[in-house]
Amino acid sequence: MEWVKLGHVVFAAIWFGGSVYIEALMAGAARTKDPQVMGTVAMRVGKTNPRLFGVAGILTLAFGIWLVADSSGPWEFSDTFVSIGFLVAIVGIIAGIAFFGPQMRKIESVIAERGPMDPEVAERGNRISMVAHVMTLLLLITMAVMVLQPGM
Amino acid sequence: MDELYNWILFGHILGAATWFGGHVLLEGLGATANRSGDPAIYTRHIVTASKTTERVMPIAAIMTLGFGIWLVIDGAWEFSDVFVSIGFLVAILGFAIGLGFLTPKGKQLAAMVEDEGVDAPGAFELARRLTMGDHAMTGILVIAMIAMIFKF
Repeated sequence: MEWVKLGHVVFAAIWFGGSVYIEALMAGAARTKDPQVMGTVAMRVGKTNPRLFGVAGILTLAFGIWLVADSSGPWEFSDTFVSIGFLVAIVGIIAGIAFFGPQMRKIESVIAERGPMDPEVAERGNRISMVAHVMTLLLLITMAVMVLQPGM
Repeated sequence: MDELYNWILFGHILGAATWFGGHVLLEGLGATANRSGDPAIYTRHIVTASKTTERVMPIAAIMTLGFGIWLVIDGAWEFSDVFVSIGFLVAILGFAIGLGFLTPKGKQLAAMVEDEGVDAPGAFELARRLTMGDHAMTGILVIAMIAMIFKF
């Protein structure tokens, strides 16, 4: 059971901590006001994100289900904090597949065709940043819910 | 456990998740930059990442340690517990690696790149050494996470 808990905590930490780090990295790049720096950082983040967060998100969810399904544990699928956790994990995975992945691929192709100074790069980058802020906030709320376990 | 304890625990986990998750992301971003096969891209990545790490990680580490000490004082744990000692050891090692190696060498690399460009002699080698420091930090944080979950 402790190994399952370790798996859940490790991948949730990667998901959340990685998101916080990206917020700081993108903010640092934005402060340079250099489209080339912003484009390069965005490209590198875009290549790493789907691999790392895709795996972390799915494994956080899988280990979470395992924790609740284990009959020796004190939790039920009907617990409020478990439902909130599921909801956020599913939203995060869908956002990764349906939004972040395609948007990053589009930015890559725009940079390859027209260079990092093209206005579409900054426009799409801002859109990605806004959704990323919302995801980080959702992950923060979920962590609070997991630790405080309201209704338990 | 009382409500205050859970909020302290949340602060501890928030700091630890940012510290650990940020370093795992850093490993992922480094691997992406490394795959480019271009020393200049890799060195530039390390400069950008070092600046972000200097801003984010000290706050995360101090939160982890500060809330950790508070948890032991307020909770059912003792400073003599093995997992608590491992936590302190990792925090001390983390501060030593961060303040004694990563921060000064990161600043040295940034200065080299600013003065002589990304192809400055020794810049790529210094970037590689900084990556080794990041690997060491990620390794000890993994040990800390295992110790905290299993509570040796």
